[in-house]
Amino acid sequence: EINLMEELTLKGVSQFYAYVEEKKKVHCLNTLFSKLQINQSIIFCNSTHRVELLAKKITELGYSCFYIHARMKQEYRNRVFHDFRQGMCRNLVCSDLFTRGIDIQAVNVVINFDFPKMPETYLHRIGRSGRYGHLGLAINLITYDDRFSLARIEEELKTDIKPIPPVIDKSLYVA
Amino acid sequence: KSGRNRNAPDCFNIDQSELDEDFDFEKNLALFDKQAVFDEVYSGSDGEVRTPL
Repeated sequence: EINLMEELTLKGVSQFYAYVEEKKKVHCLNTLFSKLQINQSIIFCNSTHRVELLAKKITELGYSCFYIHARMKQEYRNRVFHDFRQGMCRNLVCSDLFTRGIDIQAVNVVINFDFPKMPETYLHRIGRSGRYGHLGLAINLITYDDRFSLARIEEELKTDIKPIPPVIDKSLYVA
Repeated sequence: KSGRNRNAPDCFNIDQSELDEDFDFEKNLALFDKQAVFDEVYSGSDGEVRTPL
């Protein structure tokens, strides 16, 4: 476990948080989609049920997305992930499945729709492999209940998650 | 799960009309004084039970 953490880095990822009430998360996400220059994005939820609900909602909002979670057959998940990697869809909604981080260059935005509780989970979602990391954005939707997790994750990963600025500099995440 | 009110409206039951305006990031950020909250978290003075950091 420790070795996996050492292979992933947060270097190059600009990490921001948006403070939000739980019931406003979809509204927040919708605005993020309209404001950010997303090449491809991955959006994380904390449960398989929420992945399904969110994927459905995103589609209703008019954005294309694939979704995968732990209750699906491995073979199916692999196929969907392969198609996503090939660029067949802009957005992927998923639960925690990536034990080695995400290895897709085209993904320039990762969104924690649900903030994780554990530092390892945060690193697996946001961290990139490779010595130099990867240019990109991580946007974390934080509720008041997430405050302990936020403190713990910043402390243990020695990272700083900043409040989302009114305008995000494109050079931080657009190639 | 974990004691939450199952009948409470969740974020997925959003009214379409709520999406007409942009989410106000600044207004919401102002509701969260990160430093003050972290001071409480680290001092253990906010009363919640949790494992030590």
